[in-house]
Amino acid sequence: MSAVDATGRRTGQLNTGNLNRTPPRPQTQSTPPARPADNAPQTRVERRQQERADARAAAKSGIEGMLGHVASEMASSDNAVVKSTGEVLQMVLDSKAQVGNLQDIQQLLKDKGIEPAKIEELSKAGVISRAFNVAQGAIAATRFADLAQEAVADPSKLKDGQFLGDLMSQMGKTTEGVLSAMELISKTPFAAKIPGIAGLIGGVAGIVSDIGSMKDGASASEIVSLIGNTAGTLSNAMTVLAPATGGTSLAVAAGLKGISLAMDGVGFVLNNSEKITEWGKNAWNWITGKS
Amino acid sequence: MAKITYDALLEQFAKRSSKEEAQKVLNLSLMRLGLSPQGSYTPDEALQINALILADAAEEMLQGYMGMLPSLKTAMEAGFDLSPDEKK
Repeated sequence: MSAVDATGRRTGQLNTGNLNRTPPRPQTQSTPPARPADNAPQTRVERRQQERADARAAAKSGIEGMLGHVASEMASSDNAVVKSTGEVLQMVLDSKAQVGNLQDIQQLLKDKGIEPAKIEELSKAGVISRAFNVAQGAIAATRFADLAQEAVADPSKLKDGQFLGDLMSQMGKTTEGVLSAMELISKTPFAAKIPGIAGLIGGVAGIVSDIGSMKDGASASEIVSLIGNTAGTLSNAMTVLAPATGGTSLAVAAGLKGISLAMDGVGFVLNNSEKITEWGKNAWNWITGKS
Repeated sequence: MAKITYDALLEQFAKRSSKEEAQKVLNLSLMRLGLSPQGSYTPDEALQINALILADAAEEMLQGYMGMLPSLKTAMEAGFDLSPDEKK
């Protein structure tokens, strides 16, 4: 393949988006993930990495706080549908996603004093299951981000079947969460802002179905490309949905596009490396619990 | 071992976005890793480049997801069709 150059070096214009260019480091060997040794004095680079890690931890705690805040606000709403949605979000968050099924949630809603008839109505309208998926999706997105950080610390994990399977699993749950949020919006007056919302939802539902129907023994490239395609399709959907979300879905779209780019890149690298034998099958076995 | 060129990675990324956007993402990752955009990379280096892009994108997605939830609340408060859902 002409894309892989075993000997030569290429030059090209550097587009850094108006950022100052850092002088390139002489290429000597592969760059290992920088990890400060125990008890070693911190260099400037190590200190910067530590600061970045601290900032990330603070941001993560802020994100969890934000989700808790939204759940709490929804749970105190006068609107019965919003209130129940908030209660479900809170339950899933409080249980760290250990509430595993709708029966448990319905019971918990009863315990919260919501009338059984109302719970029944909400269930039939799909509110409870979708709120559950939205909360699970938020937790899965958090886990996905954690896994991505692990890949930064140790990029060889991107060659590990179990790791990749976990990444795919979290992307699948995140996608279901986004799909459920779209379905909830489709039942509100805001849906009128998106003329083709039903088709949009159908497209994302198709992706969720694809994730669930991958064949046993799927190859590494199939798994990597499925994550990339899922993120890419979802990114497009989030862009189209922007008028109904006040533009807030555009940030999700940007993140998803980056994920699709990165996964395409991972697939490309692995397809041009000799180290991928059988790990796709292992990943699939892990996902399906067959290992 | 075969190296992966800058152009090859860029070409791959540009399948999902504009070339300019792909270039920006790739170059920022290279800069943070101290790698030159004028060379080719080992598979491990290329994986590291992608891992960094993935991590940044995952954080952006996560923050976007959380930021979208208040809009969901607003939409649902505007009215919600409680007619039975055939799918669920």
